[in-house]
Amino acid sequence: MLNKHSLSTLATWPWAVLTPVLLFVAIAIFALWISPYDPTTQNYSAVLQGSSWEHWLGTDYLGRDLLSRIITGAQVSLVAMSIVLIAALIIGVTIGSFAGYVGGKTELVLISAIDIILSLPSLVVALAFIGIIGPGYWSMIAALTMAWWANYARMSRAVVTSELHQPYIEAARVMGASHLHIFVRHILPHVLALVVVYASADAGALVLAIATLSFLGLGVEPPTPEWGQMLVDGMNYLEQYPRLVVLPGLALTLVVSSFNLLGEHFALKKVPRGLTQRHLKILKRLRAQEEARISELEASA
Amino acid sequence: MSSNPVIEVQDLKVHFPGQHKNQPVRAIDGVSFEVSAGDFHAIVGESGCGKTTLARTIVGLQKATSGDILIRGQSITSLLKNRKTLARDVQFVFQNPLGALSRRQTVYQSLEEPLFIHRKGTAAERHRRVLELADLVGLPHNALDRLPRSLSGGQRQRVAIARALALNPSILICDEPLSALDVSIQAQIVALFARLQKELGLTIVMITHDLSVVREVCSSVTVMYLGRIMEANNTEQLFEQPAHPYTQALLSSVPSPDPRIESSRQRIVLKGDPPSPMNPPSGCRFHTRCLRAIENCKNAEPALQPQRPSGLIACHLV
Repeated sequence: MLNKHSLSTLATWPWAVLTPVLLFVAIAIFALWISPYDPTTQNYSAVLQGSSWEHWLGTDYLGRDLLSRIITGAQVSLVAMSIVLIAALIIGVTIGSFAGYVGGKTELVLISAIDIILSLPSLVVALAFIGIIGPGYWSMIAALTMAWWANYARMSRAVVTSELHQPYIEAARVMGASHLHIFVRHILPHVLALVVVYASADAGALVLAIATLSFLGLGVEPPTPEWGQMLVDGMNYLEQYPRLVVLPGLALTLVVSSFNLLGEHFALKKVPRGLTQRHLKILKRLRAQEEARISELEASA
Repeated sequence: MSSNPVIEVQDLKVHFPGQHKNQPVRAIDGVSFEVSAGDFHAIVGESGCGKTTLARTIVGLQKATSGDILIRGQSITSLLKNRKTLARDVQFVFQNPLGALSRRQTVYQSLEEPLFIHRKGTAAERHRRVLELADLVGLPHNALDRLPRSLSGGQRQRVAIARALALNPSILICDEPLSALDVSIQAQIVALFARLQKELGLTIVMITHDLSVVREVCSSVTVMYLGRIMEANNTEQLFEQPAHPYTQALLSSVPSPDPRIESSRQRIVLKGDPPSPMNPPSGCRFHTRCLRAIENCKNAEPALQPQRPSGLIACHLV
């Protein structure tokens, strides 16, 4: 429903901050259609070319189109990042909320474990994990999830413990609400509101971590185009053909900084409350419909 | 007092762990009273005398250290095994309505929640019940879609009361339901309580420190001091002939609207603060501040005993 209100709400959205992120997501989703060449097809008759009408950004040492590789690299990064982020959120929110809700010794044990993981740099945790289960795409995702969930667990626990002692939780308890009801209806929304905002800033760091692991040869394996992978490939030609390194690096920098900007914006609450307002309006409309239906029923009866 | 008490508190003690292990905070230290059906019972006392703890213990939000609370003859500990059943009979109104309502739920959602928890009726029936509740407490229907933060203080408390009444409880425990409100709004909410009590035949226990409210609507009063009951009586008797020195001091602080009475009102000013509930005074707890304390007050704690013509009192002088 595009009415005047929603349009004016849209106008207040921080488009300057959102656009780069949305652009990245769009490129990743439509990578298959917008990349001019297959990113893994090698063409030995066109190796290390400069930019031309055929190859806008040139080709690499195997004659693969650089633009296609960067575009598909966006997709690889986004997919890996989304999987890690969602898995880390689910694990982190579950463990953290459980610790906060149950309290006592269980909380102490869980929170100590979380603190131990948090005390180590996340990349070190990921590297250690890969060292145990061996390199590869899925082990990279598992390792990054292991390294990332603790942050969300700690945040969830903090929110749960602060909300748990609010009088309205006690009110729900007096009403006879079960623990599940209290958690799902009252506590989880608060947890998600904070954690998702934090995750939006974390997305950039994750893209960087994925590139780092691939750069080290521990993540995405060739020939899958991945920005970290492309940096390694280009290293040998850095002096003659710097664009082989600069362009994927630039893509990486842009994505990371645009996610950071978005996260900062969210953290400073510069995003308007348009969504909740709209939610309320929809609720109101639904109630009006319901009311009309009931009065109709009563009239006929 | 009456033959069929709905709430019986029997030698209730609630202690909290203090800074020292062997020195607990004695928030409630041996309190017994009864509330009979249809009573509007007030519990009054200074801040820190254990009123709120008492209210929370009655609805099961606070565990008793010893003693028992019987609701219609059934012990609270056994009732708490099934909170839903208890919730249909006993409800609680919190001191601060803004805190007691979820800031993310609209008024409608808040009112629907108890019905939802107890799986009462279909969506249409719940809808009708919510509108009924809104009418019952005098809440305009256009307030139903708002969030608590955009309501006035009086409206918030009306929502909280409506929510407490959603399950048709027969007992309402109110923890200082007026103290978060403006004076002009207080009068409206007091009138609302009085009306609801008559219309729905509720038994209400109201924790308050506002004695003029007590005089206006309550039928019986319990006066607490430092975790103990000082005096209990019906409202009329207590206001006409306060027997306990502490009650007398409390009542002397209430201004009268009648200028003739007001000009002759003698204010009894108690010196100092109430002693710490961690280390209550020996003998009568009030003797450190009592104007009429005698030697015996320091040594022996007076028992709560019947007084004439009605009520109970704990004082050596009576």
